This record gives sequence, C-alpha cells and structure tokens, in this order.
Amino acid sequence: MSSPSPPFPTPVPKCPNDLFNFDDQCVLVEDADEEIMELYMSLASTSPETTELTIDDNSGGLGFLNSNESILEITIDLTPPLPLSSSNVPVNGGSVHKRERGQKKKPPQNRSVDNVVVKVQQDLGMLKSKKGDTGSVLWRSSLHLSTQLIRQSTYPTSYPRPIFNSDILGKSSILELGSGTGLLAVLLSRLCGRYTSSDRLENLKLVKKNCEINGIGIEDGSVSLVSNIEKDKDKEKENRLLKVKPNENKSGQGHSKMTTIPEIRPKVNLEEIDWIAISQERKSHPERWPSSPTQEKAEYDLILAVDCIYNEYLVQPLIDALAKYCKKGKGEGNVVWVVVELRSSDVLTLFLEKWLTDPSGPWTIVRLSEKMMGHWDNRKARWVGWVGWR
Amino acid sequence: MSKLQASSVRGSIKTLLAQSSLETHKEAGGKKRNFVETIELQIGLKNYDPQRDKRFSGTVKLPHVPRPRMQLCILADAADVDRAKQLDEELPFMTVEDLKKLNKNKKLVKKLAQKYDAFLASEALIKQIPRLLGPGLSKAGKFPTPVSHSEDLQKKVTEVRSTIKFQLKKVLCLGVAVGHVDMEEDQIMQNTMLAINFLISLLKKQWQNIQSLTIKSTMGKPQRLF
Repeated sequence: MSSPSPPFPTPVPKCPNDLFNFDDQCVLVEDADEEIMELYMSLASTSPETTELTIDDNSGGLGFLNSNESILEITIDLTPPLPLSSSNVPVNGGSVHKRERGQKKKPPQNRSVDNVVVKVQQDLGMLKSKKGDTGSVLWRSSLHLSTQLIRQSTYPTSYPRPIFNSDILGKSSILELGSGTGLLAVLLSRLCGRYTSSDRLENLKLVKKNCEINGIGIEDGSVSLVSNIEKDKDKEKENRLLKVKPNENKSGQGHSKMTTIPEIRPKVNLEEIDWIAISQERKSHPERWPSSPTQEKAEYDLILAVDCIYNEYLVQPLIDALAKYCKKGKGEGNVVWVVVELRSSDVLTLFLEKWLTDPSGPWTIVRLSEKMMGHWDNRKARWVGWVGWR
Repeated sequence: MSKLQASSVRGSIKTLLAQSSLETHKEAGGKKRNFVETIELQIGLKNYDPQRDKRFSGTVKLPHVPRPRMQLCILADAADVDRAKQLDEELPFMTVEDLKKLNKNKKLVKKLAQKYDAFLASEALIKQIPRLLGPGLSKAGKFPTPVSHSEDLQKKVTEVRSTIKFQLKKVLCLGVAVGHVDMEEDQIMQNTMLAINFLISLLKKQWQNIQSLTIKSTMGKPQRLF
C-alpha cells in the first residue's frame, strides 16, 4: 500500500495485435482509484465554464442526444481538417439536426465536402415505458466516437497518430457489445473487415432497423430476426449504398452529397449476447474461463463496448462478457476497447477495480490519450477510452 | 418550466424567509436561529430505478454563492501557496510535502476529506495527487478542482463555492444547497429556478421523473414546490 510511487510512469506496452497506435500520452492503468481521480480532476479543469450555459444544450444531462424525436437525422461533418501541425485536434464534431427544422450547414465552397448523413431510429416507447432500457436511444459518446473514427479514416494524412492502424482495421473483425441503436454498426461496418453487433434480443430489432434505413446489409446469423418478406426487401436495396429510402428522404434532401462507398456493400452481423446470461454461465462453469492461454483462435480482433457502464449491476456481467470474448494469447491475442462517458465516478471506479482484479486476468489496460480520443464539438470531451487485453 | 409557476415558487421562498427572519418570524410561525440557515432544495424522484438506470451526475454553477462559508483547501505547488496566502481571506493549503506526510494513511486522508467541503489543486499536480493521496478524497466524492496559474484564484474559489453537484446515489431522493436565509429573495429565486431546470435536464423522463420538489431552511419547515 505504501510503496513509493515510481518517479516515471511505467512505459505503455505495445498493443498485442497492433490494431491500436498508442502515442506517448497514453497511460498504463494500474490503480483504479488513482485513474478515476486523475480523470475526474482533468475533467473538472474546464467543467464549471462549460456546464454553466448548457441547460438546453446537449452537453449536460445523462448524455442522450435527443429523447423526443423518434428519428434523428445526423450529419457527420467531414470537412477536411485544416493542415495541421502535430499538436492539432479536430475542430468539428458531429452535429444533429432535428428533422422538422431542416437546417443545413452550408458546405464550404472551396473544399471537397463530404458529409455522411445517417438516420437513427430511436424507440422512445421503450425509453419511456420500461425501466432501464437505455439502449433504445442514441447516446452522444457513440456519435462522437464514430465522428472521430470516420474523420481519421477519411483524412489519414491529417491524423499522424490515428487511433487505429488502418491496414489492420480493414482486415479486422469487430464485435460490439451493447449496440443500442446500432449507429456504430452503420458507420463503422465499412471501415473494418467484419462487424458484429450484439445486444439483447429486444434491442437487436432496433439495430436491424437502423441498418436497413441506412442501407447496410444484415448477414443472417444465429438470430432469426429476419422474416422472409424483409429478406426480399433487403435484396431490392442491394445496390443502394448508405442511401435512405426515397420516401423517407423527402425532408432530408437539402443535405450536401453523401459519401458513397464503392465496391463492397458493408454488412453487419447480428448476434444476441446477454451479459447477464454469460455472467450466470461463468458462475456455474468457472472452468470455461481459463486464465491460461488458449489455443483457440480468437473469433474477433476487437471487442468494442461504448457507453455500456452506467450502473453497478451491469459491471460484473460486462466484465464476464469481455473475459469471454477476449482470448488470452501470446502476441496474437485480441483486444477490448471500452469507451465510456464520465458520469458516476463510483460506478467507473467499481468497473476498473473489478476489471483489474478479474481472475481471468491479469489484464493490461491502457488509457488512450486525450489527443487520440479527440474533442466533442470543440469542447473538452467527457469520456475515456481504455484498451485492454489479457 | 410549464410545470412550475414562478409565482408559487416565489411565494414559498417568501414564506420560508419570513419564518426565519428576526422581524417577522413570530407572525409567520417560525423561529430566528443564531446562525445563517442554509436553504436546501430537496428532490424526490419517481419512475427511476436506481439499481438499473443510468446514474446521473452533473454540476452547475449558480448565479449567486449559496454557501459563502464553505471550507476550501488548495493542494498547492509553491506558486499557489503564495497566491493562497495573499487572498483577502487566506485560503488553507496543503503542499506536496504535507501530502507526502499523510503517507496514504487512510485515516489521515479521510480526516482531511472531512475537514473541508471542497478542494482545489494546482494544475501541475493533477497527475501526482492521485498517487499521493490514494482513494480517500475520491471515496468522499471530493475530486479537487484544478486551477492553473493563469486563473484568478479568488474567482476560482467563488466559482467552486457557487457550483452545486447533483448526484444520484442508491436512493430516490437528493438534496442540494441553493442559498441561505440572508440572501435576497430574487437571488434565491434565481438559484432555485436554475437548479431545478438543470436537474430536469439531467433526468431521462424529465418532469415525469419528479415526485416532489421542496425547499427548506436548515431548521425551518419544508415548503413544497411541486
């Protein structure tokens, strides 16, 4: 307990499958309390000013973008970042337009502007009626994350240290836990080799719907959400890329041109993964969670969990799920990426404590630097990204 | 704010002030205390499952300082020690050496956490403080607010004193200080309305999550707003 703190922070190890590029500001996480305290202190260094006038702004509150619209139309501004010195950060994040207003940003004339327009269906009925159904609306950290990743992949030269090693990302298979509305599936499936969205069965319907609205194909996995009629509809849309159905496009026509991705149409797998069930399985069959390296080849290169930590009761189940899908291996293991908005410090402390001490470990956890994670619409981001492996 | 009539909130504030004022407490049925009573906003929530829902937490800066006598302490580097000494009202400070003396001793850190209502910290020390102190301060929810050398320390102190924090724990009620009985009625009004507005913005179902809103001075009777 009272061991003197080392004068220099421990150097950050290399990412086992080279998917992430750690920069020199990344930090190896060794103690949950110290990590959380540092995070919240640096969060506070700007927060009183920024929270002052945010009552009807999006930056306060729980972190959903808009809980009153059933369909959000989101424009991710892909204006090229200005030529940068290495210390620069992106200045424009995603912005949300309400549908009725039909506001549009004027694209700057002298640059080639690409905006990605995405529609997200939210299930407000579910949000209002049932207890604890947080997956049915869009949370802002997903939007900020996808904005950051898409910008980095669109303008690789402007980001000398992107989060991902793009060559490896292109071949990677990603599993997302707790997909919610499926925004990340819609936007990231075209950046990686294979994208699997997972959630509880009720939520997968929403993921599927949002993929359909945005013209992303669904691969039939183990989940039979897809009725035959809808499969036919899928085929009809085979040639449309990221375009919304014409009848739904009426109000959205004013937007600047959309990025179309040639060649392969991105596809998303859906898989039902219930962490609580995994947790119970682990309790009854602890031998299936060996802490020794397995020979088994990992099915996924990256396990992604965005804004999935918000209450104590889900902390252990999430860690169990991470332990299940993250294989231990020498040099070729896969990695976990947990991105979470800084809300209740108690819950995050609990999560880190449990993660660091989980018997499936030891886990190596690296906090990505603020520079890598980027800003939120020109403001200090209220989130953290941890990459972990065992 | 359609759910809440400004006039009725004002009425409640008037009643509350009357009951704790020296001149009017007798007619109003209250009592004048020998200290400045704090006015607290108490909130009861409903349709919220604290075991499962997202825990909200948010801070907001009120226009008027609700607790002027809030005890602060700065965890300071050499330059900030000098600045702390020079304030009109000297700000208590702890240097890195002082913190090292605590030696991460849980009891001592806890004692420090209890002694002050909030902490400031020199920005340069952000990375060191967690290692020096251990979990004590964060367990108490008292994360120090960093202050840089370019910021006016007195301003920062006022800012921290004006900032209130909403944090839902495991129960469905919470309270925040929005003022004290020596404040003007208008000031209390502004603080209260801002606090309520901000709280509503934190809630998943906005007004549908509110069971009750009450203001109350430390020793006075509760006044129901909603």
